[in-house]
Amino acid sequence: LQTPSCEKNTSRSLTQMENYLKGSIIGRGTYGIVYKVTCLKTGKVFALKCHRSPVLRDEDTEQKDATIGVEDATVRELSCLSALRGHPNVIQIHDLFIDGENIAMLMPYAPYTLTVIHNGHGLKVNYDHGKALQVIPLSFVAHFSVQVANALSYMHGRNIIHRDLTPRNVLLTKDLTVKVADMGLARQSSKRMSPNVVTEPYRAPELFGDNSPKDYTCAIDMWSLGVMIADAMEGKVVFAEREKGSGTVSTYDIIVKTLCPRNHVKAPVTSWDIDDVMPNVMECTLVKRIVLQLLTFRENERLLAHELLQDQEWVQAAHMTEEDKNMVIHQIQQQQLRQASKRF
Amino acid sequence: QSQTESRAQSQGAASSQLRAAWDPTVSGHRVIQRLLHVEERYMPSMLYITLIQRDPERREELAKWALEVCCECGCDETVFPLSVSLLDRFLSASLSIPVSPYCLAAGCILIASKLTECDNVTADTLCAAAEYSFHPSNLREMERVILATLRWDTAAVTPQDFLPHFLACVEEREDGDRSDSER
Repeated sequence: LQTPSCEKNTSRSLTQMENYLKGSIIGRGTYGIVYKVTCLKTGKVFALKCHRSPVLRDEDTEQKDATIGVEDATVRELSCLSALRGHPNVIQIHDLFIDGENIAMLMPYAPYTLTVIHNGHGLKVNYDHGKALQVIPLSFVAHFSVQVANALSYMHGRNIIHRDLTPRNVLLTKDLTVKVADMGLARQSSKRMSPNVVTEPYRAPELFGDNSPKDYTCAIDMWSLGVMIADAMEGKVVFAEREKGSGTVSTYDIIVKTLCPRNHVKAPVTSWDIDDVMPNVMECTLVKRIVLQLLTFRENERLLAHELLQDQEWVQAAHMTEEDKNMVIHQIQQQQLRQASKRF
Repeated sequence: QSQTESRAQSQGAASSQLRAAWDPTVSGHRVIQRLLHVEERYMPSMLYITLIQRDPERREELAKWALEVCCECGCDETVFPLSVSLLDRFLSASLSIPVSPYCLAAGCILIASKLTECDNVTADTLCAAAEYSFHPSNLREMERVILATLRWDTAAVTPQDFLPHFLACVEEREDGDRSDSER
């Protein structure tokens, strides 16, 4: 009968961590910083996600430090990732390092994220301008959405909700395979969680309102997916708050004005024409059908992940030719160059 | 009398409807099947179950204490079953009771609370509940030992995961009843 000690574990992990050379910062999440690291032994590149320690996040340090222990975000993310281990569209963890209060996760390095869909051009730009512009092919839009739906269907079947699905959290490997990352965790049974989940433009309408804890279902992830498809079609963040006339229109107001049905209690006095908000989506019959089933104002009418995967037409549209892939990769690289040159 | 007759009739109709409600494509049958499958991953080991059945008092004592603490702290209903699941799985892996078993039970409650609640239980509250038989620093260390032992795979399936799906079936049945009696 012995108290097991974690001392041994800690020291082993520390020596392992010395085998990796910390490079540039590749991402900043709500809960920490992600570095690009190189293994000194094999030369392989990885991503290292360092969860911010409670000491750095709170003012009254000593007190908090003593009572908090391991961050709940860390416990949630890691339990979630280990429950989903092995799925081809969910990011995997190679190793875990514990250094005092800090916990760092070693993950495969994914060179791209889905943020390319914003600053990139929507589907139709090449028709408007005289010269041919590089555009995102429709097959890529269907491709990423089917792979995200694949991951979501697996998670939702295990009563796990992602809760923060945004283009930034949808990683892409070199051959454009989707890896969903940065998950929170909520089993359906533990429903009353804080409503401040999901980055605003991707937040489902039922999550807006006062700050009281709310019941929510896996349908919130499906809304986020619908917004990402619309973003990809339009080449911008469709529900980003915007200036109009004399004031700002919030994400929620845009959603209500464009998508709230007339017989709903929250129905607006004046509504916006959805053709103006997402013209490219509305022009393509297939995408329109999918997006409108995902962006339903009432959560119980929203398409579920496994239902989306049963849509033969959409799944067939997800087939990408080599040419399509090269076009997307070229587009992403151009954009990364533009961003890099902006920095200098 | 005619009223009781009609009720008996509607009950007969309802029981035939119940079978329809269990159609796997309509009800949550598919989800329940999958949850049952996932649940197997989070079962304690057979050896542990055999050992514990020879001398069940110790586990019962710890589980009862955990239930009391969860009630006192006003924890969400999912916290208790999840902490007992963590406790069983930890003991399955280590097959030895640590020096302070209450510290272990408190560590399990702490992790379960972090997983499922937005305002989680503090280490101080748990230390107080155990009448300060261990320090917050012991509890923090225990938390790490549990997480490392279970390889962070802590989001176990609990009875509360099944309940909404069972309730949905019952609701369907009730709706069936109501529409029948209206008829």
